[in-house]
Amino acid sequence: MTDDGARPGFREEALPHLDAVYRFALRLSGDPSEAEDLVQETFLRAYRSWDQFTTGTRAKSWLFTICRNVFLRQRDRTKRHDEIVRTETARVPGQSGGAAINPVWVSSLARDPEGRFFDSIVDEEILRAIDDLPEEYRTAVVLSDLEGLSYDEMAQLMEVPVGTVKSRLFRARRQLQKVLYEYAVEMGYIAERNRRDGESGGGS
Amino acid sequence: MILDALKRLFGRGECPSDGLQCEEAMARIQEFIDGELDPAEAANVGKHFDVCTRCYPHLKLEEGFRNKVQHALRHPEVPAHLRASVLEMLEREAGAE
Repeated sequence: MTDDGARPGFREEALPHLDAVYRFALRLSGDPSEAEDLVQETFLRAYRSWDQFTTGTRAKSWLFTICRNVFLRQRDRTKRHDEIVRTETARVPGQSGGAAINPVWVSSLARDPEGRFFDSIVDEEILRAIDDLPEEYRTAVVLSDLEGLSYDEMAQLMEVPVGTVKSRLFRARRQLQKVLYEYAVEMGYIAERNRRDGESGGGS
Repeated sequence: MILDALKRLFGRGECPSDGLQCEEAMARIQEFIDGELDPAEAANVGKHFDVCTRCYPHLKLEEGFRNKVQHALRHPEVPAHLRASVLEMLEREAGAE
């Protein structure tokens, strides 16, 4: 029942991350049945190459790496190249002037200073917005916000420099914030034009 | 222009605190929340957000956004039939060795 064959320790190290790998696979693929196949394939490959896992490193990161590689290979095979990441050579956020200031928050502060509109947005809408991100952005958000991986860990997993991780995260979050803010305006969670908006002083 | 609006809102980047200027603090907001700054820098940035009435609301909005995203991503759990079939697959693999 708990025999790991020639792969001692696999169950103890890998199986606790089954939920995390499934959630990751679900966000990568955007489809529950595809996610299930991904999880199966990930654990099969992980099991077969368990001797390549370095004890002391994070099994979860290793499983995510396998899961993402499987996904990317499958995606390339089916030629679903509808996701293009924009120039990632751009500067890392905030190192030049206005980039540090988030225009979405500037708008929000004028209309909904406490960000109450977030409370009105259901999880499904947030997940839909995440699923619409390019894969590289989606992966960065999930690994950071859900799994709490460090920039270094993400850089290793995605095989990119740390600066690229920062840039992807920054862009992904800004894009999500913009989409969700616009959704909130559209749904009337934030008034298009609010009280003092645009009228400073006035009084008569 | 949006830039003018931003400048109006943030003045010239001067801040009531003695240390960091607003722009510098805002440039680090992501790394600050992600816990990626070294302790000294994190303390410096944190001190700025504590006292700066212009930057603090941005930090709160950013944190609120993170919480919302984290909450949305936290589910679902792996379906029972998938867990069972992974375990079954491992049994098969172990048995075949």
